[in-house]
Amino acid sequence: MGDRRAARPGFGLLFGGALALAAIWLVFIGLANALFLGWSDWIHFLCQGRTWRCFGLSVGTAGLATCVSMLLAVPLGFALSRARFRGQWLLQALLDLPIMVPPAAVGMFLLGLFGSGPGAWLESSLGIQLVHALPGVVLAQVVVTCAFGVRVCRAAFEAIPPTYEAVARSLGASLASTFFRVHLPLARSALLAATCLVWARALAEYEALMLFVGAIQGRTDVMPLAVYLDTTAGKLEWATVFSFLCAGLGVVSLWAIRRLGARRGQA
Amino acid sequence: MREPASRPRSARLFPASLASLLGLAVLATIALFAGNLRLMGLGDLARTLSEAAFWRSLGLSMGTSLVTTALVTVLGVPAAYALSRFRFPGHGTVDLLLSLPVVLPASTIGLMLLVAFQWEPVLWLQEAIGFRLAYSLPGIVVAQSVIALAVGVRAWKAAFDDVDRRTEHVARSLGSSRGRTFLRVTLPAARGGLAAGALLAWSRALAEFGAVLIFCSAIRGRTDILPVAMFLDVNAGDLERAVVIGFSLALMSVLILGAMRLLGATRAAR
Repeated sequence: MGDRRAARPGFGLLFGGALALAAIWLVFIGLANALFLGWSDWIHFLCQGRTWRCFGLSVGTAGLATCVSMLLAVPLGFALSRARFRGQWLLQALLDLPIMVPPAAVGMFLLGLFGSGPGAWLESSLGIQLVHALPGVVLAQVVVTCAFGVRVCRAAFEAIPPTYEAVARSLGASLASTFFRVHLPLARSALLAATCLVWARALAEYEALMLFVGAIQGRTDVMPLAVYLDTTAGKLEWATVFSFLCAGLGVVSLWAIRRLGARRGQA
Repeated sequence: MREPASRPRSARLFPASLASLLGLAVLATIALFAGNLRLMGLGDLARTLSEAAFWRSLGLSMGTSLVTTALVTVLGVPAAYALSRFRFPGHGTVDLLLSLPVVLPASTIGLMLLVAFQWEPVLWLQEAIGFRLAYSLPGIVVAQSVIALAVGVRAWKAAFDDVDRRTEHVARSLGSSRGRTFLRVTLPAARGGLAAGALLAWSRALAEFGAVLIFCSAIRGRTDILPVAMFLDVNAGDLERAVVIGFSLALMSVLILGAMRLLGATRAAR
């Protein structure tokens, strides 16, 4: 007993120390940035119209992308959780590709796909410009987050015991009404958590945007791209304000996900 | 299928629309990758693969991401264990803080590092050591490690959470010390999950581009890891070379994450 207690402080110190080191490293980065900015700069930049225009643009595009992503991801996740067919693993691996491939490469592939042929066609016939424009921002956010949403939704539907479905079906409910009356209500909080996660991801998307649409002042400057524009223009203070706003939104979404009881290990 | 005869058509509509949506999603994903193959002729592939610059970028990417993974593993695995087992005031806050980089834009991470490392006391410290982190090779490792640490700690914490506490309690009740229990019981039990977490951290370090772009800037011949080289090529209008780099990055990530899935699958089967 005495032997065990003697070994205890060293053990706790080693592991607790590693955790403390990791936390202190992040606190140091945040604190250095907060000290760099100072209160007067905060107030000055929060009174600027551009700050809130970029903020609104970010929240808006991410919201739109989340709607599209989840409208696709919920039925796709449901289909993948229920369907059983040969070669399903191949199909699932294929649908997972956009999250396995680095986002910068996804942005590159989007540029390759829409930069010439189909993109030019879209622009000439429908008047939709993707590269260097806002619809491209939303498209890139959807491509990066949708596959992710499908995974989370599938897990949410798979967590529902098949007994419920069997009972509903045996009582004469169709698959459609089972989906709307049984699966959706049961998976509600998990799906809400998935929506928050997808929104947070869409809001934080930067690398795919950088390659696909590019950062253009006054046109595609959602907050992550505004950070890049301001940094390269030497306006570090303004960029810092944007990064704190992004961090704030990130904290809110993480907190919401935790409250909704997201399954751990996903994100 | 097993539908009652009374409502044959409307009942089929729902599964049919699900199946067609699935088909569309698959086609769109194939188009995203196959559409780029047409940009990449065999000539471009041969040209890029015979360049020394490409292989130097590849080596730089591999080297920095492996160093990052090693550093992050050494710090992150014990930290994740502490996060999984120890209970202390502020536990939730620390947990949230460590996963925050996952939802931060990479540009924000890069900027915060840039600002933090030009803060007076830190600048002075760097002068004392004799080198600046920003715009340098070690800077790439620092930029990669922020996101890799966050992703790794989450995965490793989940791996430790999955280990049955009872086995630890049994070992402790038989007189094994906490350190010995960790090394002989917890670590072997969490082995698969820990390896999967390290692979995940590696793939994120390899993919990191945004933070490197801001913290270390894009300098040809100096900080051009593969994603940065791809960005430089796109800006220079050499789309063909960028596509080759994009496909090689995609291939590496798929191999690493495929290995991770296999590890996870064997663990689940056991």
